[in-house]
Amino acid sequence: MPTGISPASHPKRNSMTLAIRRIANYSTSVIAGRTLASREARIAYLFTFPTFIYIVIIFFLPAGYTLLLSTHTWSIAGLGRFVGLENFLELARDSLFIKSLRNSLVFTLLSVPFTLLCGLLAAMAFQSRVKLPLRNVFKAGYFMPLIVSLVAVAFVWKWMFNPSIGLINNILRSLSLPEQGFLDDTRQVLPSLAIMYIWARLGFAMVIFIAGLEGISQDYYDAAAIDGASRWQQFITITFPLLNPQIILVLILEMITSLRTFDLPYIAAQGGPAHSSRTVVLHIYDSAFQYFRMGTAAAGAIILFCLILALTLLQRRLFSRQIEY
Amino acid sequence: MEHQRLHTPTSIKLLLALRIHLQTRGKLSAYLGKLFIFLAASVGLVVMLWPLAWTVMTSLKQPQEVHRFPITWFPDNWLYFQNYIELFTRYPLPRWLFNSTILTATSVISSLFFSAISGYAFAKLRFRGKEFLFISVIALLMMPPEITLIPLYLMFNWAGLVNTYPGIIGSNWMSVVGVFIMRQFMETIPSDYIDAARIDGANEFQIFAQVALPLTVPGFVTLAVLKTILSWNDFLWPLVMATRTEMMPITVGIQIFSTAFYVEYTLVTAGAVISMLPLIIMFLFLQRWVMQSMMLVGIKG
Repeated sequence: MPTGISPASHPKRNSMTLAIRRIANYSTSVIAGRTLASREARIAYLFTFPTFIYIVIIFFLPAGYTLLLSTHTWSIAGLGRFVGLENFLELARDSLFIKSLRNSLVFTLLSVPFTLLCGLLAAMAFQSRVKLPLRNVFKAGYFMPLIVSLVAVAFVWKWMFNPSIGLINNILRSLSLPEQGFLDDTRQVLPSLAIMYIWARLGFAMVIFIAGLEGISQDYYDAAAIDGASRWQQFITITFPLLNPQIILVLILEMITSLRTFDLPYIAAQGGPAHSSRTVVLHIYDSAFQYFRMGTAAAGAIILFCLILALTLLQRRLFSRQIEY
Repeated sequence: MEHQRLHTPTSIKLLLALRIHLQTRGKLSAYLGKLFIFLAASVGLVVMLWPLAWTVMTSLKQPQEVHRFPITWFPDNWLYFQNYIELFTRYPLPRWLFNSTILTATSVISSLFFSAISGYAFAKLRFRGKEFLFISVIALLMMPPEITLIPLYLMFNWAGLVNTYPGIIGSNWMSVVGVFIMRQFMETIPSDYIDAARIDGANEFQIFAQVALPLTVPGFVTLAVLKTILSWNDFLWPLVMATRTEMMPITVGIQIFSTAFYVEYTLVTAGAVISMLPLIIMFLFLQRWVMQSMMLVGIKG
């Protein structure tokens, strides 16, 4: 065996044995705990051990297994044979999955911009600079829906949106306006869910934006006012650029959250009518736990993961550029 | 001379008058602007709180009241609790609330404990592999939980943990965000304190328990509040894990209504009220902490 090793690999082998010896030395000194530093390290390993276990058992192993599942067949007995990208191709041919992907994207496009806009308006009004009376009451009131579970939110709004006896159609009726189908209408279900989402998530954007606005020095506004800048000009040239990190943060986080939406369409519309509110996570849940098609479900999860990873990387990139502010 | 003496004060007077006029007008427009913001914010407040108030009021109505046209806004009898009584007799609501409480309390306590020790180690202790481990924690923050959903289910199913409390707690026994938050709080402890304690002969456990912990109480409260909200409202994992009615937490329990008797809105709204009441009460008492903890979820990125 050693005859096959070329001379070039010897230094590498030496450094390998050296590294192993160093690790061995380090671990024996840590285990014995003779020096202060090794006692510190011993306690540190003890303290981070649960995190390590968590990362490996609850995270990396299952994530790896998802990757395996997505490229294999699956039956009750366990993993089947390797099928390459067959599961992904099957998803691409599955019109229901394509529809759910489209629904998730449409839902995100409908809900995220308005969540940000409403959150920004609320934050502008309730920042301490404006000195609005009762601002803490307003802040608390706008924030409250955020802590209500999305299951309860779905019920609350399903009742409000009920086509025959719901509040909103009752108001429309008394104003002699045409009644709407809301959650029962294939074209209105996604906008209706988006309204629920905006209502529930607005508080989050608001508190992040308020924190950002409080960090902008009053000096900028004073200087701009002396130069004769109007309120709108001040907003465009001072507030907006200086609030950019928070806006990007909330934008990406909300996009991730709304792409992962499951509770709202599941409870309020059961993915219907005619699958018009079926989202990606709903599709994954359905194929995994209703039809036990773990392979395609895992492939769907991988696609969702890639979408979210792309958004996260985009966020990092935008943030590293924002630092100059 | 006389003419000039008269002339100058007049122009000054005019200028002064103009300035006062502009100032008051500025003040007035600022006042009107604030009034406008106040009115708009009030309308917004009604829109934000009305669905919640409407839900509470519906839950206090008799079943025939909700079918009236034109609608009656307020319940006929504010003390009509029949819907709640019916809910409690027809469904195992106390059991669901008990399950939710057990799950929430367990995950809060255990994630506080593990986050505190790991956060302390990452912030204040020197050991090899720290960078690598911490980068793994950060990487985990970016991952959507759906990526591990199916294998975790298969794993827990294989281990026979479906419909058991450990199974329903699932991965909630620890919080990756919590490790991150506690590390941030632990980093604010001056290292001098720790060194001084070491010189005084305190061992590492004593330093952690008697120096680090008392200085990071705000971190604990923040994390406890955050974890309470997240685990009380957790839905997808318990939906998968708790298939037997008596093992369901309240969020999963009340979703039965969405298919079982969707017309009986007086009962559905009563269920929704019960499920959201604990957190709303907590919010009313701990407003500042709740807002801060929700902000930390955002800053994690």
